[in-house]
Amino acid sequence: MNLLAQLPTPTNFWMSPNGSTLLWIEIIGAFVLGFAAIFGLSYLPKNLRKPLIGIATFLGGLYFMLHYLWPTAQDYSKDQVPKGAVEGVSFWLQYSLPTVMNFNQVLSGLLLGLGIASLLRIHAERVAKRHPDWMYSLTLIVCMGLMAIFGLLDWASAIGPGQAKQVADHPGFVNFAYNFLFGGLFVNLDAVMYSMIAFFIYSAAYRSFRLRSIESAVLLGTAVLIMLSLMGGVMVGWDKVVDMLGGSGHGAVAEFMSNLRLGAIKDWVQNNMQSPSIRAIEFGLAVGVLAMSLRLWLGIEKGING
Amino acid sequence: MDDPQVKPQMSLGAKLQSVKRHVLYLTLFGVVSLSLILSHLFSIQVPSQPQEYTKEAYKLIRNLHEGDTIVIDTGATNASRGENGGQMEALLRMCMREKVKFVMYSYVEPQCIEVARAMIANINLERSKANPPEPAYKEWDDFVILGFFPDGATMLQTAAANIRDAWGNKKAKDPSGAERSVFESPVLQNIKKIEDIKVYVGISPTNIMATIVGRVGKRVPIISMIAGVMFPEQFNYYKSGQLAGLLNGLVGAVEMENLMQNGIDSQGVAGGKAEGPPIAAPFPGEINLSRGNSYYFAFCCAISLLMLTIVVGNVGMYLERKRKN
Repeated sequence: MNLLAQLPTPTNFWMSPNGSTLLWIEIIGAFVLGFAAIFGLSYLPKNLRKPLIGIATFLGGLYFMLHYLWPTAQDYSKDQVPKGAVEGVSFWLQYSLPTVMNFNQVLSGLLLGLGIASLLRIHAERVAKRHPDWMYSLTLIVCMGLMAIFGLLDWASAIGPGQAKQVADHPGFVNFAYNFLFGGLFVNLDAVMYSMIAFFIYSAAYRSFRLRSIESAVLLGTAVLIMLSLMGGVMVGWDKVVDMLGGSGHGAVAEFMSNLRLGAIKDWVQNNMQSPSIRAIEFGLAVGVLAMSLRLWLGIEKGING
Repeated sequence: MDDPQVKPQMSLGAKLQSVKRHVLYLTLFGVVSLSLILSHLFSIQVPSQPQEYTKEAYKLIRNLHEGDTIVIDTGATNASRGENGGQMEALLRMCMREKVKFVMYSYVEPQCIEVARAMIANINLERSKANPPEPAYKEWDDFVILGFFPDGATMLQTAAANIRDAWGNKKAKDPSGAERSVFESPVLQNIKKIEDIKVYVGISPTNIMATIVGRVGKRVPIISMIAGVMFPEQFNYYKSGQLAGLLNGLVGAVEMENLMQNGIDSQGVAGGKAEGPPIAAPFPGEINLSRGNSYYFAFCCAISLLMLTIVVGNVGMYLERKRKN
């Protein structure tokens, strides 16, 4: 059963020296073959495609399920011969995991590329057909292209021995352009997009937090308490007043008043109201995810396989 | 007869309930900008009370030893710099001062690595300007960056089973510029299994903890540095003992910076002066109060404004109901 572990690793097909022509040929060959396989699959008739996807999904799911549930061999070495079928499967699951991990990284990377290709196709069509908002599509394509070109050129300029330091000391046009595009524009626009949420939250809170019923009063009261507890100055001041009212020492009054400290109220809300309700939601979600995963794994989910 | 062109005058209650959106936006913009400027000009410091989960995180990081290796799993981008920026800077400063080595990677977004690199460069610049200047933290000798993993879940599962298999094909440049396996670097050369990593820190505005806790939990102490909006969800992991420490957004960053400034005394009091060796010592005379504290006054002003606006809306509703009745 220990199939993958028995492969002679030093002379592997994929172990060509880094930067060698052979490795580049292998990479390009794998790339072309991969895309050919994808196109080939997309042209398969539906009645053939469905079982193929179903089998691949089932095997993938089975592997990870076994990895979680199968007894794990403890303190074994790579040259150890398994004793029996159970240990054999266990060894195989352990040894094959890095290969599966690499396969998953490549597959996920490919999905990223597929997303980019799809995005480009949609927006190129919009530009070609002069869609009403084609200028935005053109902006997206130009920005994407510029970032990719200068990103790759910047990376390539620092690839050789000692080049990184040279580029850091004397940046060229390519490095300046990349810094301008990424550090100057992209990251700041990213921050702008996220910070806009604050304005929407502010406006929504003003319109929705109204004392219309007892339930809304409870919600508003709790929200205000939590917001106050986020303001350190208020928390410190509130607690000082409570301590002052309760008096010093460990008497019954002081003990009772300590319950009114803002931190204590916040902790009570957090421990007894917030956490249990979120936990309940999470459990519900997890059960739903489990059910959906089972449907996907067993090929019952029509949206994917049908 | 009434002129249909003349709009009926709105009552005060109706006016208070229907403040235009652009007025609200402008007010928020003005208050936050002004408070940021004032905070910068007058170095306004708002007091804070470090929470137990922040103190636990600080204790764990502060008591690491020179040469220990930790993992920083970053999902922080500039979008969340208000919260994760302060957390990341505090963590990096502590690692550099304690000479703790770190491995960094991301499976949230490829840009996270670039953002983290820029932060490391900024703190190195800050260290070079210190009096006396402190040595720069160097890639390969002091930290390694593994880059972006498109599929974090499988990578973590492999790392939990065999860390050398998971990261074995990752290479980094040594000081001579030659590419070598990251396991030859001083950072990872003694790491044989996931348990050799002293702390696993996840910094992200998104819920990466579900993936991390499920795969490397119980094997390594985990600290979550999360954006405020995700805190209630993450708090469950802390309450159930699956997290060793937790930072709650910007407030968490401020608390961490204040702990770096004041430490935790022998009685477990943040900033206390009890006799005996402190549970977690401060970093006296160093730059501790930084990005988190510089945003905190603006944050408090924004929350105050939010509460004031809610009060205005409710007063308007009360007045309007009273008028109609």
